[in-house]
Amino acid sequence: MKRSLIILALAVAAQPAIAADVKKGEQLAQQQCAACHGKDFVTAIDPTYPKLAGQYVDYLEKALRDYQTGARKNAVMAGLSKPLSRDDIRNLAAYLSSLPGPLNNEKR
Amino acid sequence: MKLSRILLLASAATLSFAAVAQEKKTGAAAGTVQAPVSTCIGCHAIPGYQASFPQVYRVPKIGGQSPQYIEAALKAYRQGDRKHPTMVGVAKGLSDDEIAALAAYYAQRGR
Repeated sequence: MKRSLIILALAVAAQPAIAADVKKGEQLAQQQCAACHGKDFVTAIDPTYPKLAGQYVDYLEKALRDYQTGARKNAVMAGLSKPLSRDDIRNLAAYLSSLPGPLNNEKR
Repeated sequence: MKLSRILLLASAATLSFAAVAQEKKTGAAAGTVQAPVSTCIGCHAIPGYQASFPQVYRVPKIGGQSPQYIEAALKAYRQGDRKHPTMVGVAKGLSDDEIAALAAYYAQRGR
């Protein structure tokens, strides 16, 4: 009895955090972000807008959180990030980071 | 006599400073300002490298990024509009020409 409880506890603990939903991220990104950052997230409509395709997932999440809290200031991004939930941000970042693009930090 | 010599020296010095300043101003256009990449590679040339302060996340990929965005980002750090302490410190030491040279350098390094 005791052992089965321990096994159950271990099984629960080993459960990975619920994975981000890339499909939902894609939907949201194409609706909310693609108009400025480009459908491919490499060709933005304005060269001062960053390429997002293939960027690190945790950096993208942080950037969106910073826009939400106002730690990073940009009028457009402040408005767009306001209504996003935690899951929306995770899904968006998961989708954008999965896309192919030129971004890299490689040493050459 | 002595005074005029001092004045002469002072004006010569001013002229040469002006010449240096002028050179610095036009350097980026002529491609003579070196991008001070050694400042960046400690973090941005290690795939997966994580910033550990104030939050833990991987430092963004900047190779292949749009040059105008890199320039805007560095200037935002320099003015204090963007707050990351390491980047603020780095950017405060950069001239406009160095920022332009860095932006051009990293923009060319797309995959």
